[in-house]
Amino acid sequence: MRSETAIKQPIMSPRQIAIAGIFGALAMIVTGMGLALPGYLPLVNFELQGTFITIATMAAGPIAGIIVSFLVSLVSAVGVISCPFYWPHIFVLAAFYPKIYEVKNVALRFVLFWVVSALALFIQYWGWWWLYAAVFKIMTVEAMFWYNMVGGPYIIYLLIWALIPSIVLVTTPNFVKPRWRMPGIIWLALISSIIAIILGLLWW
Amino acid sequence: MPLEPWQIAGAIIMIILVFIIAFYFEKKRPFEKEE
Repeated sequence: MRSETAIKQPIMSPRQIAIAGIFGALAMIVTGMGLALPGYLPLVNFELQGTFITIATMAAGPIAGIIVSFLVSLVSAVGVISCPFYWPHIFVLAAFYPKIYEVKNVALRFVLFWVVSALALFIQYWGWWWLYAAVFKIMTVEAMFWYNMVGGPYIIYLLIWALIPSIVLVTTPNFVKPRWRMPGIIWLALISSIIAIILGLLWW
Repeated sequence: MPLEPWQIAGAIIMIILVFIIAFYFEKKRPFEKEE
């Protein structure tokens, strides 16, 4: 028998659970109602869950982001299969976000948040391109790459994933202060990024 | 394809709601007594 000497720390605080629930609900309402920007792919619109996933990850950590991604995937046009494809973005953002938050200069913090969001979105995209190419067979990864990166969708998705969260970061910094801890987040970010990019490259 | 009026209204309501929640957590600090 092993005696428990360490005080048990809950995985999530009540505050973090509340934030995950609130933003999960908002994301489900928005996506479930079909509130999306038209014109991305046949049968797939620009859904807006990125805003809610990002804010939940900033304020309550990557587990909250994963909860929101799971809830929203239940009502998304892409289906529940889409859930893990958000995770590279969540992990990359969570890996850099506490460091970004420590930056004292508000303008620099704002710019760095956009830079990391752009990087995380680019990495996240590879998994989605694989999903659309290998599973749904809409078009090839190569065609998805050029369409998304040059044709405009990357900018629209970057606005969805970063615009409102970056305003929240500036206007209500205490709300999105990273009080969460995630051991090994750097490794999670690295491994999920490698998996997403390799999947995309293999189906290029 | 243009956006329908209910989509524009819904988007505005959702943005306002996000900021109401953000300001509520910022000022009132709910759920923080236990931490």
